[in-house]
This record gives sequence, structure tokens and C-alpha cells, in this order.
Amino acid sequence: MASVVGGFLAPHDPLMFSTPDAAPAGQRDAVSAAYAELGARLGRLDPTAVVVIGADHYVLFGPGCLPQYLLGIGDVDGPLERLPGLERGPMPTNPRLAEHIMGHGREHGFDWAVAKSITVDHSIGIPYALMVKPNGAIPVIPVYLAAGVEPLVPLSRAAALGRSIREAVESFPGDERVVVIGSGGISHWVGLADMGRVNEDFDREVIAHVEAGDIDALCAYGDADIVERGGNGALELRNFVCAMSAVPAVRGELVEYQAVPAWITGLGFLELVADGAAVAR
Amino acid sequence: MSIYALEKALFDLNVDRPSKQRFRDDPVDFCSRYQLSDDERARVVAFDVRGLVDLGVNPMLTMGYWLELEGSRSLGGYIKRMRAAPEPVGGK
Repeated sequence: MASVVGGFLAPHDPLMFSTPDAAPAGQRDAVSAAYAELGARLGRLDPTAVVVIGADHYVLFGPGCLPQYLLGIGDVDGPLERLPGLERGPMPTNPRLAEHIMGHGREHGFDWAVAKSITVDHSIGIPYALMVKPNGAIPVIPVYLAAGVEPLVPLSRAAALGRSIREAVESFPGDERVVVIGSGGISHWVGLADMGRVNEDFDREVIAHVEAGDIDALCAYGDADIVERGGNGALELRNFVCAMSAVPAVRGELVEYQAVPAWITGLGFLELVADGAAVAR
Repeated sequence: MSIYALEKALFDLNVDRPSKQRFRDDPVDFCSRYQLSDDERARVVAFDVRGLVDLGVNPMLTMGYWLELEGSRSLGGYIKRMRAAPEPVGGK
């Protein structure tokens, strides 16, 4: 039977592409190696589909329509932004599985907004390019949570949505092996006066919760507290808890952490390891 | 609500090419298409990003429109402007 076999948390910092040389060489190399390591681990999970959970940066969805959570069920391409070294193009998809996640959600209290066709932004385009694409033509299913534009989807709802994704996958007829990527964070102040500040203490605290698989602790953060300590960019913790909740009996394994003020972000790289016994077979 | 009109104007300046061109040609005329107060319009025209964020505009929009349209198009310039004391409300 189909199952979620694992997951990852990774950043999507566009400055890695637009101003690569701003960061010290040591950090640049460590970040490159971390993406390569996550990509290699992803490949070893032998996935047949990857769900990537991103955040709109107020470029995909405008004031006229702001979805709380959105699923790409059809054609996918991107990324929208022109970033040096990041090629825009079509991505392989699995509409049958995506539509199944939509349908399962609708039957269980998650009436997804959907994109029948979507050009994803860098929050999905970067993890896709650096972690998924190197492993070949693995279909990608994009999910967007309202993590950067008010009104934000509540953290507890993001967790419930992640569980819904897992249950949907487990009820899919077939042998799909699904990997989930939560894209974002950790601390960064986007467009605010504190832009360039990184709060490693907060980042390490978040990492510890992820390592422990403590979704409740992450959901207990208040948004004002997150913004105060981790900046508005850390509101992307939603993507973390959603991805964690989609992985059975999850625990986290830290692969790399780099606080990179030159790229305005505390960059955390974690694998979400599923408890083998809990993975549906 | 006015804050929503501000976000609509700045969103258009982030993603819509004709809107960007209209703003370059005549920023006051561009703003006349939105339901903005005189003060709000003045802040948009003057790239008073700090003042706009203080009003509650999403900072991703202010940063985006600065990088698209402000003369320097530089992130450093944006951060400097964000850190400067806010301009007096009400304009001239």
C-alpha cells in the first residue's frame, strides 16, 4: 500500500542564487553540501512522488484571493522568479495522487483550494531543483500554506492538514512511496528593519523540537512570539509542522545548520525520519 | 479598507508589468486608480517603505516594489530606508 516513507525540512533562500558570494566560502560550501546530502538521502528513500510544502511570498496569490492551503493537482512548472542558475521549466506530476489527496481531504474536513495549473515560486522551486531533480523525474505535488501573508493558517491546522495528507496517501490504491518536504525558515526578517538578523538561539530551539518530533511544542508558539524571536520569515514553521505531521511517528535528524546573516537567514537542514514500524506497508 | 487598497496597489507593482510602467510614467496617476488617502498615496510615491510597513502593509510587498521600481533597486538601500526614522504622517 502507499505510504509516506520520510521527509525533509530545508530552506529556500533566494539569496543563495542572487548573491552567492555574499556569504563566506565555508558557509557556502556547507550549505551546498547539505542540499546534496538531503538530495542523496531523498534518493535512497526511492520515492515515487514528492510533496513540497511552500509558502507564497505575495507573488502567486494576490489580495483578490488568498488561499489558506492550496494543492497543485495538475500541471506544475517554475520557479516564477528569475534567479541565476535556477532554470524555469515544467516539473513531472502525479495528478491521480494529487486528486486523491484533494478528494480525501474534502471527505474529511479539508476543502482544499486547488491549482489546476501552477507556476510555483522559489519556495518550491529551490528544494525541487536542489533535492528532487538530481534524482531524476520524480513527480512533485505542490502544497502552499498561508505562512507569509495574513491571514495565516493556524499552526494547529497546518499539523492537522499534514495528518490528512498522510491518511490520504495511505488510502491511495497502489504502492506509492511519498516523501514530504517542508520548505522554509528558520529565523529571518523579510523586508523588515531587522533584515539580516539571525537568531541562532531560536533556531536551535526549533531544531531541538524537530529532532524530538515534538509537533505540539512547535504548535504552541504564538505568532507574535515567532515574529519577535524569529522574524516574519519564521512563520514558515507552519510548513515544518505540516511536513512533520505527514510523516508517521516522526523524529528529526539534523544534517546541517548555518546562521548566514549575509543571506539574511538561519538555514536548517533536517531529515524527518519515519518510525519504520509506523510506515504503512 | 485602505490598508487593503494599499496592498492591492503594491501587489500590482510587484507582479504586473503594465502597472509598473504606469507607475514609472506617472506615479500619482497610477495611485489614482486605487482608493488611497492623500497620505497613503504620498507614501507610495515617495517610496516611504517604513511608513507603509508601519501602516500594516506586508513587508514582502514593500521590499518587492522597492526592488522593482526605486531608483537604486538595492536591498541595502531598502534596509537603510527601513531603519531611518519614519516620515511625519500627513506629508506636506
